Amino acid sequence: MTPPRRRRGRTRAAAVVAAGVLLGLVAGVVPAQAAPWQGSAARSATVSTARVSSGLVLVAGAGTVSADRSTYSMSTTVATQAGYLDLVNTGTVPATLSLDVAIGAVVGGAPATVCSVAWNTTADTCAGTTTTVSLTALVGRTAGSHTSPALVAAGDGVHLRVKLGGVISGVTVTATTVVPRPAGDRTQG
Amino acid sequence: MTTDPQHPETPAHCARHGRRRRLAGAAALAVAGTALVGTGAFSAWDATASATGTLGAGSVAVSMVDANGGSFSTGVANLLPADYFYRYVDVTNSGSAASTFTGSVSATGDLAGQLQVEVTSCSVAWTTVSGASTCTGTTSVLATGTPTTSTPLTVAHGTIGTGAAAAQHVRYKVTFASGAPTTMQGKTGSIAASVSNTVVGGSDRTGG
Repeated sequence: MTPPRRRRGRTRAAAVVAAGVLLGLVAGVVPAQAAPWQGSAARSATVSTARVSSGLVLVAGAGTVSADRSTYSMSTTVATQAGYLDLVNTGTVPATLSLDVAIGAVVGGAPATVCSVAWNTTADTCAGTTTTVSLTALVGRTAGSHTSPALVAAGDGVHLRVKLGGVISGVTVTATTVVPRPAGDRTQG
Repeated sequence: MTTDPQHPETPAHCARHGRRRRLAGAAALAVAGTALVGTGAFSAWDATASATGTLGAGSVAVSMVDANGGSFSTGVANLLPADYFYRYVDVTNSGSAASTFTGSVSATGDLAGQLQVEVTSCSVAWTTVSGASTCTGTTSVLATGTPTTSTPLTVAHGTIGTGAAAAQHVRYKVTFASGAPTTMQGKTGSIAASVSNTVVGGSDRTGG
């Protein structure tokens, strides 16, 4: 049988009062928490990652470089033309740079030459050491590649001269893989 | 003068009156003596003893002191995947009692989640020999992980005694993830380490 509403109300009120009393007793028994004392120290350091990239720059002579600096093109004629371009390490760490050379005809000689220092474009001379880009004659074209023999510092580059005549064909130089310095201990910077 | 037949003698000679007077006198003496004692009239015989004890509040402090010739705050630029660097600190308990310390390492910015951290202690000071990080004592790995801003790496430094002689020699090795994608090129961030301890009183210090 359901108790009358008034009786249920009194029961509920009594329960609330009892709970309050019980809580009060518990609160009185539990000791107050001591205030914690804290010591702390902190250090931090900034870190940033490298960028790895290369780009072609036309220094002097014939030909053009694409907007993204990845390709150099020169349309040759019967008359001999020369283009001086640098493959620059545009990254932030030393890297090994590579380029491909492609000529749309079978040619001989040494149409692509690398100088260890910047070319004298006026005198068409190299004050350092020259390295001929090894090209292979293929069916109707000639192609080869060059990789810097050592790490190229950021901002420095490979100095290439493309010199060709006697053929009506195009020459294309493409910047390819960039291999940064090996990973290692950077504690000292 | 009339004589009471029930009390023929004068009051001065009445035996009953005499007994009352003696009782009254004894009571008066007792009251007076009690009063004298109560008021400290014999305080010349009093003795006082006292004791004092020196009390001092404890202190809680910790510091991270650069060690092995380097500075934790020195930044590192141009990290490549798998590049790593070390940072050394001596965690010194500058408080008044040995305590248990907990540390935290977090990475922020674009590099959060790309820096692997290993925290190792050495029982003696860390040194660098021929470019190699060296511990001539006993090493103990305190924590390893790849922290982020929201999920820092927790470091259990354990109990450290007070003073520089008891400092814990800690090395942080931070490695840029070898599998970091090329989109991480040219990004920046920071690595932060902290050490703290919390002391709560409420202990029975009766024994010192």
